[in-house]
Parts: sequence; C-alpha cells; structure tokens
Amino acid sequence: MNVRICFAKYDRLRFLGHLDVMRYFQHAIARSGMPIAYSKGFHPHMIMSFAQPLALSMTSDGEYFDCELEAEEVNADELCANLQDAMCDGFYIRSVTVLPEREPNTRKQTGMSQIAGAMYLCEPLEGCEDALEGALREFAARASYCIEKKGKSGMRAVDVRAGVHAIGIAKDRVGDIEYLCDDGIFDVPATLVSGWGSEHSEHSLHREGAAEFLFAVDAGSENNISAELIAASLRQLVSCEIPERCFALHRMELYRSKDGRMLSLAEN
Amino acid sequence: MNNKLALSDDILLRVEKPARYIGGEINMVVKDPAKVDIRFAMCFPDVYEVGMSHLGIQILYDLFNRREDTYCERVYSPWTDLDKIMREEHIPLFTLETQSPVKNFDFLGITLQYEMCYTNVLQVLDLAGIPLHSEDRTEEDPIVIGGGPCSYNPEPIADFFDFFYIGEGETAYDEILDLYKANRAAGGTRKDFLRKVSHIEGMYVPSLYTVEYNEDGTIRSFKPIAEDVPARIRKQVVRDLDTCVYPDKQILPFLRVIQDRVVLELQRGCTRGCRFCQAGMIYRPNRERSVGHLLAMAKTLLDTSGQDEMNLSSLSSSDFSGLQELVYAMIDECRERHVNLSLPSLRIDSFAVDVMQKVQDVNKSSITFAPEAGTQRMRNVINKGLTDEDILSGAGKAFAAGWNKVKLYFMLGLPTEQDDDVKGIAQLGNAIAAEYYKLPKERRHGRVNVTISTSYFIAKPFTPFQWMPMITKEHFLENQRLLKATVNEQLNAKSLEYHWHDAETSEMEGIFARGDRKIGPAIEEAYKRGCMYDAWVEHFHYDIWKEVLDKHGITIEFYNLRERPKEEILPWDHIDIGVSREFLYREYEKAQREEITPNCMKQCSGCGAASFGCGICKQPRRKEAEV
Ligand code: SF4
Ligand code: SF4
Repeated sequence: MNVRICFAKYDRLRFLGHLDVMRYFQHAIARSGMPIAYSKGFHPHMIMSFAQPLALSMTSDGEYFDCELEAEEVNADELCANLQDAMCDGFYIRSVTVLPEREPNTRKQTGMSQIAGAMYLCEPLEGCEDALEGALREFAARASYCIEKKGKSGMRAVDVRAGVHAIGIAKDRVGDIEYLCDDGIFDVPATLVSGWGSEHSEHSLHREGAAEFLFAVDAGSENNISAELIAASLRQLVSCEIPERCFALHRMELYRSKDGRMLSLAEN
Repeated sequence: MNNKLALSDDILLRVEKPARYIGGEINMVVKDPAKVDIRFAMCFPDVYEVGMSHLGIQILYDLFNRREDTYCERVYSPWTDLDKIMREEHIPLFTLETQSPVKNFDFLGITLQYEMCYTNVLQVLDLAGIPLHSEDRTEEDPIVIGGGPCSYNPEPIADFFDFFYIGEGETAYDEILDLYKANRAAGGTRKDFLRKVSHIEGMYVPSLYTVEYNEDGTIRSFKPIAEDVPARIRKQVVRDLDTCVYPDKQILPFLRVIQDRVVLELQRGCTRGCRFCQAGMIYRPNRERSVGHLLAMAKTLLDTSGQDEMNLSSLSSSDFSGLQELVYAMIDECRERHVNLSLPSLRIDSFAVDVMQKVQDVNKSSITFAPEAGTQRMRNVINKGLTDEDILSGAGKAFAAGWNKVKLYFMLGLPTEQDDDVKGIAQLGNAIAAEYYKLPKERRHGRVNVTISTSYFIAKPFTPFQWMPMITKEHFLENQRLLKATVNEQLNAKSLEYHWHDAETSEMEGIFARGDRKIGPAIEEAYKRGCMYDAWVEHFHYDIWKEVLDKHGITIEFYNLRERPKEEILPWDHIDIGVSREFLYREYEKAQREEITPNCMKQCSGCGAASFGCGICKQPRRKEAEV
C-alpha cells in the first residue's frame, strides 16, 4: 500500500537542502514507527520518493513524498499524528492520504512524475513593494515574457508568462486577493487567511502587513516555472535599482492535472 | 523557540552549507534564556560536521541541560567563508540554539580534542569578542573553560583559558555551577570565583601558578602563587559508568556529519598500555559498562533518534568482556529495525569473523589491523601485544571467509627504530598477501588488496615516551622512501598499496603536544597572520608557522628532537592523572630493554591508577584463555 504525505517547511528549516530533508524524514519515519517497506539487498533502504526539491531559503506548505507501507490497512489520521509527534519545530505534517491501488499493468506514478502545477507566494521585501507591484501589473498585461534560463544544454529562452495561469495580489495577508488574470485551470483562493499559507503563519517569517503576489503556474519535468524564475522576471521589469534578492518566496501547493483542471497532490 | 536567525538570508545563501548555522535539530534543547540563572556555551572549535560527531559534547550538553537553572547551547567554528563575512560585517559569534552572542554567556566551554585546533580556539574567542588573554577579561566576559585530552598538557594555551577541567566532565560540573551562583549572589568577582574553583579537585587555573625557566629553556620551577592553591591537580574520574548519566536523546544533525550514527560507549580506558598511546594512560583505569545497561541504552538511543546506523565505541573494544553477548543481542535488535551495526576494529578471531559476516558486506568491507610497528622487536619496544602470528592467522581466517581487503596501520619514527623495522612493515604486508594466495584458487575472490598506512610518531605527554626524541621531518621522509622502495621489492608488490600521512602537521603537533607556556605567543601570532583550521591539510600554512616559530625562538630541536633527562621538570608535571611518573619511567626503561609489560587483564603492574578505587584495578584478573 502507498501513502502520500504532505508537509510544510518553515522558519530556520528554509535553509535545509533537499538531501538533508530526505534524511530527516527517514529518521522521523523510523521514530514514528510507521510500517514503511524496505528495499531488498545488503543495505535495505526505505521505499520513498520525494516531489520537487525546494530552493534554499523558501518556505512551503506544499511539500510531498510518497512511501510504500508494509501493511494491509492503515489509519491515516493515526499515521499523521504519529509522524507529527516525530517532527521538530519548522516541519508540520499537513496530511497523510492513502493512494488508490494502481491499476494492473500501469506504470507506477510517483509524486514526482505526476506534478503539473504549483502555486507560489512572492512577498516583496521592504522597500521594493511599489516597484515590484508595477512590474507585476506589466507582467500580467503581457501575452508573453521570455527569460534566459540555464538548462542541461546551455542557456535557453523560456516563456515565463505563457506558463502562468493566474496572478493575484493581496495587499496584506488578511485582505482579499485581487486577480490580475486567471484562466480558470486552478482553484484559486479568494483570501489568504482562509486558504493556503496561513495555517502556520504564526511560525512564518513573513512580515506583518506585507503585500503578497500569488502565482499559479505550470510545474513538473516538462515546463517548470519556478518561483525564482518568476522573481527574476519581475526584477527585470523594474527600471530602478533594487537588491538582487527582492522577494521572500513561498510554495503554497503542488498539483497534478486531471481532466484539464489542476488538482492538489493531496487529493485522490 | 525563537526563530530569528543570527545571519541574514543573504549571508546564509552566500555560504557553503548554511544548515551548519541554523540549529533546530531533533533533540535540541529549547529553554527560555530569561528563565535560567546560568548560560553555558559549549564549543567544539572546528566546523559543525566535525564537532557534531563528538560524543563528549552530547554528554555534557545533556548533563548541563538537566539542570533547570542552566541552559547549555552549542557553538562551532564558522567555516572560512563565513569567518570572512563575520569579520567584514562585525557579526559576533553566536550559539545555534538561541542564535545569541556568545559574549553574553556566563561560560564558554571549549573541548580540546587535538592540538591542531589551537588557532581555532583563538578564532572562536576573537569572533565572540572575548579578549584572547584570560588576564584581559572583565566581569562582562564569559568564564572560558578548556577540557578534553589536550587539557592534560594545556601549557601552550594556558594564557587563553580561565581554567581547565582535567578529567571526565560528569563528576564536578554541578559543584562548579553551584559555586558560580553562590559567588555571584555574594557579590564575588571573576577572580574570587577562579580562586575558589582552584580548590575543586581537577580544576587547573593557570593564572594561579608561576613558571620560572633555566637558561636553556627548561623549567626551573612551577609553583602555585599561594598556599591554598593545590600544587598538583588530580584528574576527575567517573567511578561507575552504569549509574552515571548518559544522554538518552542525542542531537541528530540535519547535515551528514563525520560520525553519522548513534554512538554507544562500551567502556572507558584501555587495559593494554601501548607505550606511545596517551589515551591508554590518561583514561586509566579501564571501566566497563554492563551489557544490560548498554542494551537498554541502545534501544532508547535508536528510539529517540531514528538513526539507521549504530556504532559501538571504545578504545579497544575486543577487550570488552561482554562483547560477544552484547554484539549478538545487538545484531538481532538492529536487523529488526533495519539499522546497520558498525563494529569497531576487532581482533580477528572466529567470533569476529562470524559477526563480520553477519553485519558487513564481504565484498565491500575490509579487515583492519593496527600492528603499529613492522617487527616483533619494535612491537616489544612499544608494548603492542600483537604478534605476526596473530595477524597472519587472523587474516587467514578472514580470507577463508571471503574477505580480500586488508588495511594496516603503522607508525614511522618510533623510538629505537632501525631500517630493518621500516622494511619489516613491507615484509609483513607481503606475508599477509602471501597468506591469501595460500587459499586454493577456487576459494579466492580476485586479487588481495593490502593497504599500508603510516603516520609520524608523535611523543605525547603522560606516555612512557614523553622523554623520548622524535625523528626529524627529513628522516621521516627518508623512512617513507625506504618503505615505498621495500614495498615495491616484495613478491606481492602488486597487491600492496602504500599511503602516508603528512609530516609537516605532525611536526607542529609534536611541538604543541609537549610544549610549555612559551608556545602561546607564537600560536597567537600565527593566528593573527591568518592560520586557522590547521587540522585541515589544505588550510595548514607550514611557511607561516615556520616563520613565527623562528621569530619566537621556538625550535624543533628543543621541543621534538632532544631526549629529556629524568630529572627535568616537564611542563605537565603538575597534572596528576593517577598513573605515576615512576611507572611511566619504568616503562620508558623497559622499552629500551625491549621488554613487554602485561596488560591489566592479566596482571596489575601497579601504575598508580588503582588509587581511584574502581574499574579493572578492583576486579579479579581474567583467565589466561580470555586475554
Ligand atoms: S590498545 Fe594500545 S593503542 Fe589502543 S587504546 Fe589501548 S593502549 Fe592505546
Ligand atoms: S593499577 Fe594495575 S590494574 Fe589498575 S590500571 Fe594500573 S596497572 Fe592496570
């Protein structure tokens, strides 16, 4: 049986790299007593697979990994509670879902290969708000916006704008979100407080009263629009001097695509 | 938990491995600093991955934090990239837990595990904004304490510490902290406190002693400045390891550290008495934990960490009396939990082969021997009770069980060494390879691989060799060349591989190890000229050190190359490790006569450590067959 675990990563732990996060969860699973399955061989390892690595310094509410369990039946709530007990400050288990049995003769779909979309919050750092809001409005108004990106085979141009499906702006974390564009593929939240990103806001580093830009984008192996790519685009559109790092970045959720719509990875 | 980091995001994104500086690990202790009386910063003066691998810090961290009135936090040396940024941007050194400046703490405890960390000690003090010299510190500065193996001869760094804690930390810290509080409550000063600390057994306050030197640089006298200050400082010893506290929740680093496993400490001290070995003397007497206690500890540690590897640790684990019982029980426990059991290097007998087959991958792992010397004569000099016969039959057993990789460790430059002893190393390697080819062809697994590693003998305080000269760096290099050539001449040369250790660091280590207070200013100057992380070959600047030593009149001849006469006052003579100077001198004479001394399991040689009244000294000797 396979389960999917969704977790949040906050605070100091923004500076943990992907490999360290994986190691952390191996230890945490062992502490929690979850009946995880092991590979065969001399040095068996836990069977688990992680979705998209998160860039250093980013916080997230939408981190995922799948793992195989050595059990016929499980109580997902109990697993979730036990795993939460094994967490240190900064990691929160948001949900544990049992994945549907795979149809015979179909390929195994891990969290990684299913990813099709992501939602990000970009919070302009103090002093950059106005300039970046102008850039945001200009970016939203364009039909396409290309930027150079380092790929496996050197630099190539990516149309960042074409990969963005919805752009919202909230003047502070409790206010309504104004959408500059939305093509309807994502279920976008109306406010931040009742939606993503606020659950652990008391732990969050985000500034009181800061504006938030929301982006719903393509993600996954084919056309991945990362939060950094968006940040870099907006920065390019600003005419005045602003610091290299002008945003605090946050991942809200990861999605897979089903019948032309984006569905949270946590939903079956 | 306060989540404000001491470093900005910009800095954390600029440095290598920012996770070194954020703390927040599993089992990190969280307290409100405003609600404690004493803040203790515990430091390992090297980079995080090295420091976090050290069990001693975990033990003290746990010990301090069990006290409600004390909050102990950790601090490590910032790596060179961050070091530079901190200096440029005037960021004070901070602890991982609360990310607050070390300067605001009541104590800064620094563990001294190897001599080459001395410049890092200065780095830590400097970045923290604490005056380097004890005498320049004010009531605003933390009390700086040194501990660990190098504190047994702390003279080279005596000026930088307020006091040294000699011996095992579990026993006297409570008394020290209580004293600190009482002194503060009574309005006492830093000086008052240090004076009172000197009355606690094991505490060495360097500023309370004066040294006078002879014309030739040797010590004429070493005396306490007042009658109430003890002339000799006797080390602290834990008498019963089973009843002494042990951290059941060890901090689990996020980063992959050097010792990335749970450590189970089987015993302290060693019974063997190899004459070059400082650990073998300063940790006497040998004291074991009981198997029942260890098994319970192992279970708790695995439960609270979730680690997938467990290491049994001690100086000479083959001698641990409950080893078989413990290991067989552990193998089952570990298998159930999918935990790898990593074994210490065991004396290879049928038990070891059986265990290794159960826990190691025959194809990937190697067997290890540390004969330390190539000939029986030389091994008698150093009192290493390991014969060619032991090694060859051990290797034979392992080969028959499927192993084909052997690692051998030796020292070059041991006292009385002759060319034949050097060549003997290659010949022993060859004989081991030959043992492999005695196996019928169908039972071999390809070619055997014997790796020979040599290090440079460094004479250490509190060993029978503390009076002995070391050889020159040039002589050492000659020995390396001779050994290399002899390896190539061997019949099985193709199966032998030779690695050697850098000689320049070792030369310096020799000076620090047996140094006196005259070395301190040189260390300080080397630090000011940019020396740091000397234990890291790529950061070690031999040229700068050479210049600085010359300038301060510190010569290799005086510190490393001369034979010290019996009556000379040694810089560490005021430290009492329980093992008597007379015993060490007897051992020194026996070494020259190539005579061996039996280990403590067979027979007590009256070294003096029995005065602690515990451990091996109080037990009936084991039967011949078990030794
Ligand atoms: S066996 Fe020898 S080298 Fe090893 S710890 Fe004991 S005395 Fe030291
Ligand atoms: S007193 Fe005897 S038994 Fe005890 S450590 Fe010394 S030699 Fe060994």
